[in-house]
Amino acid sequence: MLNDELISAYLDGELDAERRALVERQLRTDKGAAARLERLRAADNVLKQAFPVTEKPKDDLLAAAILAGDVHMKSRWATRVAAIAAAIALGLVVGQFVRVSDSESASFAISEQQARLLNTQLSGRVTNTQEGAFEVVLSLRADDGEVCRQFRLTRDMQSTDVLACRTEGDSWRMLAAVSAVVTESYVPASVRTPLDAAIESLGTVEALDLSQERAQIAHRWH
Amino acid sequence: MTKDDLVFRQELVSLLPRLRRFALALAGRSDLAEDLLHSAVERALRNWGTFQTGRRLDSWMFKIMQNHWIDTRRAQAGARMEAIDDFELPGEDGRDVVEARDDVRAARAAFETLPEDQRAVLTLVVLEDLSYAEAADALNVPIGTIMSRLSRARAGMSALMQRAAFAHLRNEN
Repeated sequence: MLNDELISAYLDGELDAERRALVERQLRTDKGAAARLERLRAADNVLKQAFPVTEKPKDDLLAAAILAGDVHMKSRWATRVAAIAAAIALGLVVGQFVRVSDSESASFAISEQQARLLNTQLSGRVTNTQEGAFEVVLSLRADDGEVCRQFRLTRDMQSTDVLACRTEGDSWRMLAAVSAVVTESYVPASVRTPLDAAIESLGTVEALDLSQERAQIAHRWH
Repeated sequence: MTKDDLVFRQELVSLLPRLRRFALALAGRSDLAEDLLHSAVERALRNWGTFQTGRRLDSWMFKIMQNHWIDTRRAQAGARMEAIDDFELPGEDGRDVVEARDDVRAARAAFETLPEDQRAVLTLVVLEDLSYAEAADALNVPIGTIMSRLSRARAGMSALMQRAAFAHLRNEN
């Protein structure tokens, strides 16, 4: 007589050869046990359908925090996503922006193709472009309606995170860029990156979820 | 941030959807699951120096989540699992999908009624494909416990789903 524990372990391929052979012999003769095996297998399959791995917009926020080297995410995110002091101007963006070398910033002026992708691509999708793999990681809307998106460009194992905001006529301007591969030097978690500063400079922002992004793209961000 | 650190972070990011699913199985509620996920990620980033290369990062994370959950759940002991609505399903129309949705709904309902330890082991072995040894390590229990919990969980799932299918048939007739 086969018990459920053996059937279950058989299903998972966790039995040694001897016990596996024993179970298989029994399954051939014991119709009830064979039916039980099928029921358990069917339940497993439905369980997999019931709980698919789905990527959520929330993952983008958490991912951005992890990659930014931000250990104290919860509190930091609260500050970032909730009302951030409306410090537009203050020279914050420009000041931080200087940290990006000239050559780097020059290469990350928003190209036409990038602008087109920023206008049309959902977060989490990756498009291979001449400039590298392009992926939008985050979309933000400021209180005054300005829309900004953060994207990551990866080429030759080097990633650059760029924050760009939409301007007139379907084009985008870069607000800040930072190399995601920081050299061997240690950067404490509390250091604000130029991207953090740039996002804060937008004032109160909300992160758009995927359905909001979809709607924005359909309405051409108006 | 060193290059190793960055590689570690990127791998962690790629695991997020799966870690969230495990968090939900443990915590049973999406707000608690979100807290659990954040805390586990913080813990992992603080302690990644102790992570041995060559080890599976997913198993290590599951273990961190399980430990953290044990540490904190006393505060919400007895909290019931809420209806899970945090999973998107593919397909919006068509009869096949509608039929699939009935047993999917039954599977979710059945899963929600299982005790937390059975939900955890089902998630790790059936959904995550961990071996019994890996699941035992993540959940800090002997392999024998994994076997018995799993068989009880599967028996429970299959009984509840059969009952749901039967009720469904009766309603149609």
